[in-house]
Amino acid sequence: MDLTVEPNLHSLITSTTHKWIFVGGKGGVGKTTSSCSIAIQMALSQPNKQFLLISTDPAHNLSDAFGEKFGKDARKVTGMNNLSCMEIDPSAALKDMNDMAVSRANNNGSDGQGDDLGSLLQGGALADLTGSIPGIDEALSFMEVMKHIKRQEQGEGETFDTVIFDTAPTGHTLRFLQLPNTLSKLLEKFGEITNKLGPMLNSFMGAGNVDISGKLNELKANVETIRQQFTDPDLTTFVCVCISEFLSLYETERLIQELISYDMDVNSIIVNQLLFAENDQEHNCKRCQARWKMQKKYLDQIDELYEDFHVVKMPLCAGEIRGLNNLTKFSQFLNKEYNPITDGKVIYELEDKE
Amino acid sequence: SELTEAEKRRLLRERRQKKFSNGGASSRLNKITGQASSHLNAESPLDAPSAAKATPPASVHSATPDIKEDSNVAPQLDLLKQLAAMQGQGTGKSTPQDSSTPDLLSLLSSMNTGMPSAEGTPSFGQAAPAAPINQAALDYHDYLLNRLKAWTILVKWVFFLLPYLYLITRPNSSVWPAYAFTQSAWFAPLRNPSNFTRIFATFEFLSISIYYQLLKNVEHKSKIKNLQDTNKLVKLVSLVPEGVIPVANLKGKLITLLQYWDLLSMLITDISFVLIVLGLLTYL
Repeated sequence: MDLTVEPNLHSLITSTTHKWIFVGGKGGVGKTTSSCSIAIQMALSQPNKQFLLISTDPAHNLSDAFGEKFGKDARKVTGMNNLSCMEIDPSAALKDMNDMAVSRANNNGSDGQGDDLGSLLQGGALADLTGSIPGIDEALSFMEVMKHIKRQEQGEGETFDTVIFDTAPTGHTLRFLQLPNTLSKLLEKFGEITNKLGPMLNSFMGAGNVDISGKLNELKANVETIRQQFTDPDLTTFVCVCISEFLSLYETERLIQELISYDMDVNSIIVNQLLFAENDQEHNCKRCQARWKMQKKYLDQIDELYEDFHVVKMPLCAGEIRGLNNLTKFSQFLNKEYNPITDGKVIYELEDKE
Repeated sequence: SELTEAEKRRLLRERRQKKFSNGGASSRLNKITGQASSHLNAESPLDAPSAAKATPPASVHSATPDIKEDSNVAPQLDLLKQLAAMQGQGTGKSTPQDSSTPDLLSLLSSMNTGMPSAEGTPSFGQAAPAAPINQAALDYHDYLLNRLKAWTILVKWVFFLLPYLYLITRPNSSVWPAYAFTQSAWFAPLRNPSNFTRIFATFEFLSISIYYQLLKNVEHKSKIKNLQDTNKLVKLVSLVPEGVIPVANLKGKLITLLQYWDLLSMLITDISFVLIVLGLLTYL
């Protein structure tokens, strides 16, 4: 029985079942580069499917990574027909909400109250207020996921087969992943109350009333669907990104344990920025040797701790990995592991600027 | 035999989960921190008791929600339940119905006492709450207190006030020569009725002081503060959270006042006894 694990992400890249792929880890370890690389490789290996790369990190990097501007709506990466990107901007989304509220308030202005409310919101009071709520980024990202599922169910607009999340550093990500669970329970509790008070609440809403219980049940069903999908290993997986240093290794282990406690599948670790100094004849300086020695120490530990994981060892490149071409070149080592002897030249081949 | 990709993934997943179970998660963190001589926390979220809170999805499907599972979702409800449970402890009347929403008074009471956190440390910035007093301890304290009062009254009335009142109203009674000391010179001031007020006041002062001292001994013995823990008025005042009534340390002031009243009532009782006895002796 062969249970060896390949040191690459080939099985994930060619997977036809995965709908949600999260890429996360400590800050500055190369999460965005890794998520872009995974997205590109998946899009290249499955040209008939549509992929969406979403950044849930409030400090978005996708636009810089690809060298083109992405916004709150999904837009195709130039040069790729089946890969789209979007950056959820909490402040822009909140501004939209604020503007909607302003227009509603102004429409109701005839009764004399709308004007006051409208003028209050004109300065973006709602956006300011809600923007300061902790976890609003995660909540908005989650709303995007829900919208996406709804679109798929209703067959509206552009749909995507796989969504790849370029997540924020660990804490944010864990909060985001906890949201379905928390929301599900919260809605269940809220549902109990509205079941009792539903008719009364509905009567308070006036003649053109909204069926609160119905809306809540719909929301609850959506959240439950997401929660089930996030914990199904055939549909969702988490790719941890780290560098070969103590703090990064420690945080990766803690992240993995947290994810396991949420019953989420995690089976891949990308170790970035490795020097492979002994195979680098041209730039084999004393500092590189010392740093590589340190990296090897933690690599040994990683190999020992994660023997049942796909541990992908990625090289530190000479230039910045920005732009589709550079990302594509770099991302090939996710599909087929980097060999420092034969692939060494690639790290100097990255274009300076696109 | 050849494994399908799905089977292989499942087997690997089970193998991974096994490595993180049964304390494996913490030992992995220990290994990482140990090799780097780090002081970072090596307690795993999987091994910590709170790991149960991270509800695995399979267990969330239950149709009837478990209140315990919802602790992080409905903290207010949880707080109410905890307060209700505390109320039950305090009064020793914990019944299954007590887990329902508690009444306002008990809520105020619990808020004032402070609610112990999960670790047993006091919350709301208060000192550690005293251990709940059970009914048996209160009964024993009452018994000791009543016994002290009974003995004090008995000793005071039978062994001093009654003979003294008899002495000043019947100084020439045939009873006295039988007690030689009553005939001595140093006993003469006692026989003089004009000294009554001074002697009675001195006696009351001494007896009440001794009584107060003995009362403190009883409180120390039973570890129950007589007024603080048993007086209904103090209990009522303690229900009001600090700051609601604009009097600082209202409870402390009330306790002091009640202590004075307790002692004053003894003096009043004694004066009443003296008046009744004097009246009776006048007519006898």
